[in-house]
Amino acid sequence: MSARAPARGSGTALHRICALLLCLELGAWAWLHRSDAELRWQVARGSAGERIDALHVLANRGTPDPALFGDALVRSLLANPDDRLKELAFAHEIGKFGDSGLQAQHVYRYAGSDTAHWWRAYVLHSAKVGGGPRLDRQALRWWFDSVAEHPPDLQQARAHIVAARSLSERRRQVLGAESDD
Amino acid sequence: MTAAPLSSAPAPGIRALLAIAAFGVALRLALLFAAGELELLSDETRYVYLALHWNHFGYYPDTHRYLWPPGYAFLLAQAMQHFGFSGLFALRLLQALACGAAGVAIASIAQRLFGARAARLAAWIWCLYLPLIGFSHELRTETFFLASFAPALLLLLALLAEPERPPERRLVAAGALFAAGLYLKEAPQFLSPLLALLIAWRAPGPGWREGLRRASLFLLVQAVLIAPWTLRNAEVYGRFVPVASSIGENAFVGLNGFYRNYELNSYARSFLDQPTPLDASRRWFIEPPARPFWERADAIQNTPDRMSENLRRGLAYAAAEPAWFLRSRIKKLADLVVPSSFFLRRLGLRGYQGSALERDGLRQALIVWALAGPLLLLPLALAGFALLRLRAGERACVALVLGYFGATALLVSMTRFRVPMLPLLIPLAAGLLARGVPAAPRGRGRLAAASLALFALGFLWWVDWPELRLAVDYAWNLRRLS
Repeated sequence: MSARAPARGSGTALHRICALLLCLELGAWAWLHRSDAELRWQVARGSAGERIDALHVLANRGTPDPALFGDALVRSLLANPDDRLKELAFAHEIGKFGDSGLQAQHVYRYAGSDTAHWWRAYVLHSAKVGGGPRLDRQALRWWFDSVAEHPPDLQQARAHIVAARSLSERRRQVLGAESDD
Repeated sequence: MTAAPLSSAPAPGIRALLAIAAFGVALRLALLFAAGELELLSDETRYVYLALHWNHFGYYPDTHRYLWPPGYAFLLAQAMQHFGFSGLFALRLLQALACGAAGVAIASIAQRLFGARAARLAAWIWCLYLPLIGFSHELRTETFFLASFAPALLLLLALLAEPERPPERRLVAAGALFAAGLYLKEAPQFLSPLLALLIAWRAPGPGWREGLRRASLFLLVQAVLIAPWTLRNAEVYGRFVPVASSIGENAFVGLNGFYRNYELNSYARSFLDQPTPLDASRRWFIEPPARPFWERADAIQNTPDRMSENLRRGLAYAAAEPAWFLRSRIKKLADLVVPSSFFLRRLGLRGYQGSALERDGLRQALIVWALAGPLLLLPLALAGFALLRLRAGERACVALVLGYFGATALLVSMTRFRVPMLPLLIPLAAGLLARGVPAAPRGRGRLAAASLALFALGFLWWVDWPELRLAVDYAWNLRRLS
C-alpha cells in the first residue's frame, strides 16, 4: 500500500475554473450570435468577406430557405466583380440547393478571359458530393498557381478536364451513381 | 489497492525509449522521402477540398454527408497556406515527427502494464509496424490522433493503477489530450463518458463523492476544450453537435441493405475493368436481404438533421432485418481484423506510382513486411489479453477501449479503424513476448479464453481471405489504372 495519504475529497477549484470557462464560452457565443435577419442584412450590404460568411451560415443553419439560394443568387454571384464571391457560386454550400447548370456552363463553356479564376472555379465545382471528377495532383498544383494568378496553360488545362470528365463518366456507367469511395 | 509494479525488472529508462523512438521517426522519414510526392486517394481529396475552402473563403464547410472534425483540415489549411502545394509534403513530414510521441507513449503503456522488457519490445514493435508507418504517408488523421490519444490512455492507466496519488494533473492532462484527439477524430466521443464511469468506479474510499469529483473533472476539461467548436456548430447549423459527427452517413453505409467497405471501394474506382476485392467476398456474409435498401434523407438540407434521419432509418432497417444485420456484422468484424492495411492498399492502388517503393523486389519485400505486422500482432495481443495478469482497473480500461473501438467497427469497418486500438494491442503483444505464456495461469478459463479468441480470429481471417488475396495480388502485380 502506498505511503501517501489518499487524495480524496479534496478541492473543487479546478471544477469551478472549468465551469467559469464554460460560462464565459457560452456568454461569448450568445454575444457573438447573429440572427437570420442580421445575416440577411450582411448578405445584402456587407463586405465580400461578410457576405461569404453570412451565406455560409444561412445555407446551413436550421432549415435553410431554398428560395434564397436559387438561380438569382448564382447569377448575382457570377456577375460580381469580386473573384471570391464569384467563385462562391461553385462552392458546395450554394450548389447543394440544386445545380441548375449555370455553374457547369460557366466552367465547361469557358471562353478564355480569366483563366486563373476559371481554374479555381473548376476545382471548386469538382468538389461535388458523390462522385464527379476528382482532384488530382496536377489539378491541385494548378489551383495554387491560379491563386497566385499564374494560370495554367489553357490547352493543357482543357485536356485535363476532358480526361477527368471522361473517366468520371466511365465510372458512373460502370459503377452507377454511387461511385464514390 | 496496491500500486506495486507487477514486474521487478528495472525501468528501461527514458533514454532507451527515446533512442528507439528516434530510430522509428528516422525510419518513417526515410520511407517518406523514398515515397516522394504521392497521389491523392479518396478521403485525402476531401480533406484537401476542406482546406482549400477554408483558405479561400475563410469558412469551414462540411462534406454534406459528414460533419468532420476541423483539426486535420485546419492543419492542412495552415500547411497549404504557408507552403502551397509543398504543404502536403510538409504535413506528412510533421506526421512522421509526431509519430514519436505515440511511440514513446505506447512503450510507456507497456512499461506500466508489463515492465521494462515489454516496454523495449513494444517500442520496437511500434518502430517496425509498417501499417502504422504507412499512415505517415496518408493525409489522414490517424497519426496526429495517436499522438494525442496514446498519451491520454497512458495517463488514464496510471490514474487507474494508482488511485491514491493526487489525480488532478493526470485528469486535466488526460482530458485535454482526449479533447485534442476529438478535434481530429470524433469516434471516441462516446468513449469519454464510459471512461469517466470507470474513473469514478476506481476512485479510492467509500461512497461516490471522490469518484464523481474525478470523473466530472475529466469530463469538464474536455467540455471546456470542445465547447468552442460545439458552439460554432450551434451557430452555423442551429444544432448542438459536440465537435463533429459521422454517424448518419455511417448508418447509411453500415445499416443498409448492401455491403460496402471503403477500404476496398477504391479498387473498383481505379480499375474499372478488373475484378476487385469486393467482387471476391464470400457471398453468404454480404448477400443483401430481399427488402430494398433505404435512400439517404437528401431532401433535408440541414446536415445534423439529415444525419439524425439517416440514423433513424438505419436503425429501423436493422430492426426489420435482424438476420441480415447479424450476418453482415460478422463481415464487419472480419474487415476490422483482416491482416491488410492502408499501406498495402496504397501500393495496390498505384498510390506510390513513380516512387522507389514501387520498384520490383523492394515492393514485394514491403508487402511481406506489411502483412507480417498484423499477422503477428493480433494473435499475440489477443492471447496476451487473455493470459497475462493485469490490475483490475487496468484490465477494465483495456477491455473498455478495445471493446469500444471494436463496437464502432460494427457500423463501418476497415483496417484503419484498428489504429486507435494499437496503443493497447502493441503493449499486450509485447507483454506476452516479454513474459511468455504464464506457467500456471489462473485456472483453465484463461487458456480456454485465449484459445477461443484465437479460433475466432482465425475464422474472421478465413472470412476475408478472398479480399486479402486479391489486395495482395494488386500490390504484388501492379496493374494499369483506368
